[in-house]
Amino acid sequence: MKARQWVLVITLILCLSVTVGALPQHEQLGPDGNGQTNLIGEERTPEVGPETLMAGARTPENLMALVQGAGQAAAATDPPPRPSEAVKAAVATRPPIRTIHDSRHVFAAIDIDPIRNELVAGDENNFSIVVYDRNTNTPPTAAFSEPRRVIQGEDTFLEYVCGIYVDPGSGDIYAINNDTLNWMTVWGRDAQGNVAPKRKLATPHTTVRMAIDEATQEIFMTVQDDHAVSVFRKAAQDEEPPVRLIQGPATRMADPHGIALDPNTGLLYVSNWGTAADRYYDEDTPAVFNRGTGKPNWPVSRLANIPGSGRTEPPSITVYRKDGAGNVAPIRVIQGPNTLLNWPTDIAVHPDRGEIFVANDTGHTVTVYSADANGDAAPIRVLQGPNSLIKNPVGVKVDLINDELWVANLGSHSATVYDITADGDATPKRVIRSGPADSRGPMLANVHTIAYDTLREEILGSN
Amino acid sequence: MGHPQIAAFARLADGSTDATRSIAGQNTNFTRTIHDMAYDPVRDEILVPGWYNFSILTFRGDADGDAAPVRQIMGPRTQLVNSQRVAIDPVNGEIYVPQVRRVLVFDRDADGDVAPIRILEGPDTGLRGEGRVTIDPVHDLMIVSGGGDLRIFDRRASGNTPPLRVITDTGASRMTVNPESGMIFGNVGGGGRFGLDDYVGVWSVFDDGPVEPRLTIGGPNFLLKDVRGITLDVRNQNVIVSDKTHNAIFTFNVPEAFQ
Repeated sequence: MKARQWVLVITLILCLSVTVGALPQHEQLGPDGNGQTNLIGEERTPEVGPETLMAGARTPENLMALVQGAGQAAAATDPPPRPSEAVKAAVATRPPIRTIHDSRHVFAAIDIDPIRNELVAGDENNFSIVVYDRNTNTPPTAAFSEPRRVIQGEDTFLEYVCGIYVDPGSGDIYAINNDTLNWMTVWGRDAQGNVAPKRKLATPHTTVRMAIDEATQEIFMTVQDDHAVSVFRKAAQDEEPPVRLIQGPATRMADPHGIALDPNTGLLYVSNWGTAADRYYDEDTPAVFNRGTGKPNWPVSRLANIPGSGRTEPPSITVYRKDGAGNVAPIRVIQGPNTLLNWPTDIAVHPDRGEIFVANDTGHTVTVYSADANGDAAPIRVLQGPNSLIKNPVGVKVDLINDELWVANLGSHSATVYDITADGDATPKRVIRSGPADSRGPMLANVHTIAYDTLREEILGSN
Repeated sequence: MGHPQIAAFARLADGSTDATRSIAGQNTNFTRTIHDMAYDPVRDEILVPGWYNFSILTFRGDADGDAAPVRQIMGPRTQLVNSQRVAIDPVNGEIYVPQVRRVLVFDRDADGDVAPIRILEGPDTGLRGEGRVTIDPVHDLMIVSGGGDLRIFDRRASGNTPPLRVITDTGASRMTVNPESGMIFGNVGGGGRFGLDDYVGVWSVFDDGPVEPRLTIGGPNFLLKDVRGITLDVRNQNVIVSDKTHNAIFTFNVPEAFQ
């Protein structure tokens, strides 16, 4: 087969259509012995070869069919005529033939109000907060349970709600968004519908979870992009700046997610997924100066990142004093293969039992550790298995009044409740479902870039 | 956002359907929202930028679950920073990474701490900040978005090379191209979350200057609110669009855009 035919076949595989393209030129490429390519500014020939093409065409028959189809049409060499206004209008108002969308609620974050007997959940599918009776138990034959209240709409400033806190005194609901809408919103416990929050606070971009210290009236938020914890006054609103910041290489934070406070010991627990990079912290660096916002204690942003400094570390739990500030080293780090951490997305503390609970999204587990665990510590209990109904857990909370453990399962439209000592493949005491038990749905949240897999005829969608 | 993933859906998937497979987990090195990816039909591979570890991750095309990348470009020589965007030239075997006011080009087989084989940068390029890139290997063109313009370069351009032509004031940023027809599909939005002001505009790689889109898909003032991704199913003449506010993936059948 001639080179031109190979190009055509590759392009055909690319387009799944008949195409003729100009042939690129010679190839001069090779490693320099240090894993570094040394060709800059020179062109390369197309990569052609039977193995590659077979991989693309899947079968010899398909390959031959593609080759035989080549040359029957030419690539465009001039702009085509512009369509008529009538055609333009028809296309602009043509509805889609298919839509992938999950209109059901999903539980991306939860908190329990044991005083008023409610479960409050952040819903990333519908940019909402949903409130259920704490004692709801969706029958296995039911499609879903109705929430008591839903806060949702354009006036709410809610989007990808990933952090929820219920004030035990007032019943106020605190919510943070992970993307686009950089606000913490605060709601009265009776709020519902498309209503504005009682107040809102400007937060750093990409906050993930929060913990509140009722003793000091402070809010702690993990910030993904900045590998940081921002601390605000609990009553802060509008543009009030943080009061403290934990950020810097000594902190060992790396894509932080969950955060929990042990009120007995005054320790903060932060769960980290593990990817990170270095950034400049010198105030003489323009990207660092004034923190970009003019606010003190604002995290140094990704604009100060150092090219080529990216790295991947194992997931971890890092522990700090709650009054820690600046580039402070963790008191302890739980990290290593024995920990079984796998995208540790949320964390909760049971101060009386001296235990911490970690929701591992893609481990499909809740792992439990001693609150003073350190290093490559194995969990003292692991909750997982088909009876547990745990599927992509992204939220975990402890109900200290009823001694129950709550888990938000993004992969099964459910919140499940267990005895606090549950272990192994324990059956939940109750299940609140917002969708069928046997469907995880598309799990789209912040659906972003997409691609088309021409070999499998599949749409690839990313969150 | 609770759960980054790359989920695969059947072409005919509709409604609240389950994915046929989903790539997600500790081994993937995914971070938060994946802002770009590319599918390489020749190698049957998926390329994903690693935002927090400044990397380009390559996965097998049939990857599923907590899969590790088969290759990972990462390290000081790469010059990668805040990697959010990637494109593949499957014919010539090159990976393109637009990054601030430059475009880094890597060999498709690059793995580990490797330097780019070419870099397009400099004042004559006119590159304007955060843009996307797409490659037309048939017409040998590299199209770079930025500042609302579509800058069309020779595919092999490097250094301080000016574009061949510029389609100005398109408003497009995210885009893809159909190499067969030379049609560029780019998102245009009004910036709001809830307004019906977004659409997919269609231009030709031969357009130059302030050219109105030949077609608009999904709007304006019709359906789309916040377009985040565009891809093409050429065989079935479909334009597939993701919308952040709708939290949905739409498939439009537009034969007129493939003629």
